[in-house]
Amino acid sequence: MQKRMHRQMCNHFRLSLLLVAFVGAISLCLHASWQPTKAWLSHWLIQYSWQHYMATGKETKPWPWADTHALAELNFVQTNKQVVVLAGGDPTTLAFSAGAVAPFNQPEAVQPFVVAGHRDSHFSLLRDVQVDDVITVKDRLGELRTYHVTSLSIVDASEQLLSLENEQSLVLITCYPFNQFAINSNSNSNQRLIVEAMRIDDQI
Amino acid sequence: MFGVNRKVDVFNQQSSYFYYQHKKRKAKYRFRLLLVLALLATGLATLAIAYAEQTTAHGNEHLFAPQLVLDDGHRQSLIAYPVNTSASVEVNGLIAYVEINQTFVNVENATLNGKYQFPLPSEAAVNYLNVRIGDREIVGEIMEKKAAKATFDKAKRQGKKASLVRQQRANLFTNNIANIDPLAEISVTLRFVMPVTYQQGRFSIALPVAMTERYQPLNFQQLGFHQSPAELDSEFFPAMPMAKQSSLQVNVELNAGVAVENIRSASHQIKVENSDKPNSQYGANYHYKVSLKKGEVPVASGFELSWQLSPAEAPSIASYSEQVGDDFYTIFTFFPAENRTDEVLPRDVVFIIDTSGSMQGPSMSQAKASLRHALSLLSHQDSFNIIAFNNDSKQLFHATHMRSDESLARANQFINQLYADGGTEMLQPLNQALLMPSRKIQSEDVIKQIVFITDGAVANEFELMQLLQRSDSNFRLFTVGIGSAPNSYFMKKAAQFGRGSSIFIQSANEMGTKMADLMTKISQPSLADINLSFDQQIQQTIEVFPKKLPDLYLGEPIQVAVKSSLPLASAQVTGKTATVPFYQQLIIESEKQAKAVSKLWAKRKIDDLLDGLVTGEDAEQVKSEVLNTSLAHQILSPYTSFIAVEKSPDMGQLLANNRLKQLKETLAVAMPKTALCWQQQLILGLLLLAISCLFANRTFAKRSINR
Repeated sequence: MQKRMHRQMCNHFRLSLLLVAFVGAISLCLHASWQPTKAWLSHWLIQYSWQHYMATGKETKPWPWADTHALAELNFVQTNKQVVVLAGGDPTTLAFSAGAVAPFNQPEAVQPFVVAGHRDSHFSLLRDVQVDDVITVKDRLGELRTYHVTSLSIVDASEQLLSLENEQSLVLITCYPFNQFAINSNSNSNQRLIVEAMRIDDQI
Repeated sequence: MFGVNRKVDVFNQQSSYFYYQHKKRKAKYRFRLLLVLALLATGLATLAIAYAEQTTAHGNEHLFAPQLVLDDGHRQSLIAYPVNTSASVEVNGLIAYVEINQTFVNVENATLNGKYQFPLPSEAAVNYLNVRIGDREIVGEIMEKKAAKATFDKAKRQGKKASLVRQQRANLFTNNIANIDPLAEISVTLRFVMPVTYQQGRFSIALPVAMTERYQPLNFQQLGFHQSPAELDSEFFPAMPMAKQSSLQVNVELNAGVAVENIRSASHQIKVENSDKPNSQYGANYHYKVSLKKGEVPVASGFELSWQLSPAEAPSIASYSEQVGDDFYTIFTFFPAENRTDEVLPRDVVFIIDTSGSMQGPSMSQAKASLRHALSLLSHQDSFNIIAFNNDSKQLFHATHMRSDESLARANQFINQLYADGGTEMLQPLNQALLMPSRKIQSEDVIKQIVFITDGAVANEFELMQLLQRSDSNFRLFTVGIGSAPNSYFMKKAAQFGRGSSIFIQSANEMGTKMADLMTKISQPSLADINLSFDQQIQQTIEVFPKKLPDLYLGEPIQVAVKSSLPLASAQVTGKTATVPFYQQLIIESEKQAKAVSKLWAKRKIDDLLDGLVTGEDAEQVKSEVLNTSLAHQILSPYTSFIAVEKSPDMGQLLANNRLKQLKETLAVAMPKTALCWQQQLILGLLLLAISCLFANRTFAKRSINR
C-alpha cells in the first residue's frame, strides 16, 4: 500500500516537473520568435505609414497606440535595401525599427545624424556594407541627402561614448559580431560596428 | 516498477488481449513521439539552414587577402582596411621579374601606424623596397633582423615615417609602417626575381595574393624546437573583418623568345594580346601581353599563368648568365628526354586527405574529387588506403588493401562522409602513413607512395620536414596542393624531403589531367643519384646549388644555379633508373645574358643552407652564412629585413594631428544596445521542448503499459 502511495507521489512530481519544463519551453520559444515577428510586422506597418505620409503629407500612426514616429528613410544603394528610421534610441523603439539617437536625431540639422539598429533584425544588412558604398537619407520634408561610406570601425561600447568628428556625417551603429552565439542580450558582446558616411551631394 | 512487470509475466503474453492493447498503445505513442521529433527537427533544420546561409554567403572565413590593421600606439583597430595589389610581371625565357605594388589609405583623421601580412612565392629573391607616403619616397635597404627592428622602433618614436618588411615564413611576409599621415595614401613597391616553373610540358608562374589562416598545433607555442631557428618569433595575423575587399590587378609581359601556345590561367579570366612584330629587324619577336579580363578584381585567390612552347621549339637545355665583378652566375635548366617505359611498377599508395576547417567550401569538394579520380586510376596490382584528418585522424583500413570493387566501394563511402572542420594536426596522419603495413599479397619490392592532398595551412612546417627527413627511405611523398591559396612552400619542401614531387590544382577543370599525370608519375621509375659536373679541369672555384639534386620523375627538369670564375661551356649529367644507368653530355651556350641571375643564385644558396637546419646542421653556422649571402646580394632572408626610414620628420604635420585629436573629443554620443539574440533563445527553447517531449513520452508510455 505504502509502495503504491510512494509511486503515485513520484508520478505526480514527475508530471508537474514535466509541465513546468513544457510551459517554460513553449514560452521561451514564443518569446524568442515574438521578437523577429514584431520586428518584421512593425517594419511593414512603419514602411506603409511612411509611404502614406510621403504621398499625402498626412500623418498616420503605424498602429493606433504607437508612441513613436518615422523620421527618415535610409536607402542602401548597393544592396537596394530600405530602412525607415524612428525617433529615439531606447530599447522599445529599437524593437520596432532602427532609431535615431538623441541629440543627433535631426537629419535636416547641421550636425551628425546617428542611427542605431539591431544586428539580428533591421540592421543585419550592415553586414554587407563596404567602404565607398552610397547611402541616401530621405527626411520628412522629402529632401534627399547622399552619403558616401568612408570608414567602418569596431569599438568597445563599454567606453560608452562615441566621438563624432564631422558635422555632415551619417553614423550607423549596430552590435558586433553578427553571428555571435549568446543566450541573453545583457551578457553579450560589448562591441559595436560603426559605419561612418560623409555627405557628398551639394550642401546648402 | 520491476515488480509490476513481473506480475504481467504470469499471463501468456503473446496471446493475451491486454498484451495486444499494450502493443497498440505503444505503437500510438511511438507514432506521436516520431511526429513531435519530426516537427522539432524541421524547426531546428530551418534555423540551421538560415544560420549556415548567413555564414557561407560570406565565404571561407579562414581565407583572406592582405588587410591593413591600424593602431594609434596603444590600441589596434578591430576592423581591417584593404591593401590593393597590382603586379607587373616580365617573363624572359625561364626567369620572371616581378614588381608588386601595394597601395592603401589611412582612413582615420590621425597619424597612425599600420601593419599587414602578405604572401610572396617561396622562390622569390626579394631585392628592392620603395615606400611612397604622400609626396615622400623612401628606398629600403637590407639589414640584420634585430638591427633593422631597432632602427624601425627608433624612427617610430621620433615620429619619422618608416617601413619594415620581414620574412615570417619562406612565403609569408609582414610590413610594418610607422607614422602614416592622416588620410594619406601609401604605396609600397617590392621587386623580386623568380624562376619559371616547368612541369609536364607546361611553363608556369604563380603569384600568391590570398592567404589561408595558418593552424598552429596545440604544443607549438610552448616548445621552441618545433620551429626552425630561422623562423622563431614569427607572427601570424588572424583573418579580420574587412571594411572593403582588397583588389588585385595583374599585367604580364611574356617574352619566351620563341612561339608560345596555349596561354591559360587556372585562377582568373585573362586577356591575351599578341604584340608580335614580325617585320622588325630582329625577325620575329614573340611578345605576349596578359592582363585580367575584368581589369581589377577582388582578391579571392592567387594568380596563376601557364603556357606551352610549340613542340618544334621544345628545348632540351636552357641557360642564362650574368657577370658581377669577376664572377659568372648561371641559371641552368636541363629537360631530360621523356622516355616512358611500358613496364609499369605496382603502387602501394596511402592517400592522406586534409579535412580541416581551412579546406571549407570549394577546396574540400576539389580535394574529394581529386581523391576519387586518383582511386579510379588504380589498377588491379595496386593497393591503397585513405587517412582523413583534422584535429584527429581516421583510417579507411588498418593496412593497405588491394584494389577491388569492394574496397573501392568502401572507399567511396568513406570519402562521401568527409566534411571540412576543425584544426590541422598533420603529424599524426603522416606518422600513420609512414608506418602503414602493406598486404602480404602486394609484391615485396613495391615502394610505398604517400599522396598528401591539402592546402598546407600549418605553422609547423619545420617539424613535419624533420619527420620526413628522419624516416626510413622506403617511401615517396607526393603533395597535391588544393584551394585558392595553398601554402606552396610546404608542398614543395615536404615533397623534397619525402623524395617525391608536388602538383597544384586550382580549378576543377584541370583536376582530371593533373591527377592522371601524378598517378602515371608514381608508376614510372624515377631517375635517381643524379650528378651534374661542369668542365672541372678549367674551373677552379665553382659553387652549385642545390648541392644534392632530387630524384627526377617523368616530365620534370633539373634546375641548378651556378657561380663560377669562368663562363660555363659544358656539363655532364649522370644518374640511374632502377635498371639502367643514365649519361648525357651537354653543351652550354653562355652568351645568353639576363639580369639578376646572381640574385637567383644567392636565393638558391640561402634555401640550400636553410635546408641544412632540417638535416641538423649547426644553426649558428647556417645563420652566419645566410646572413653574409643575404647582405652581399641585398636580398631578403629569414635573418634579415628590409628597412626604409625617412631622413627627418614633418613637424608641422605632427602639430596639426594633435589639434585634430582635441577637436574629435568634443562631439560624443552614447551607444545603445543593439542585439536581440532571438535566434539563440529560439534554439534553447526548441531544445528544452525536445527534451520535455521525450520525457513526457516515456512517462506516458510507461503509465499506459503499466495500467
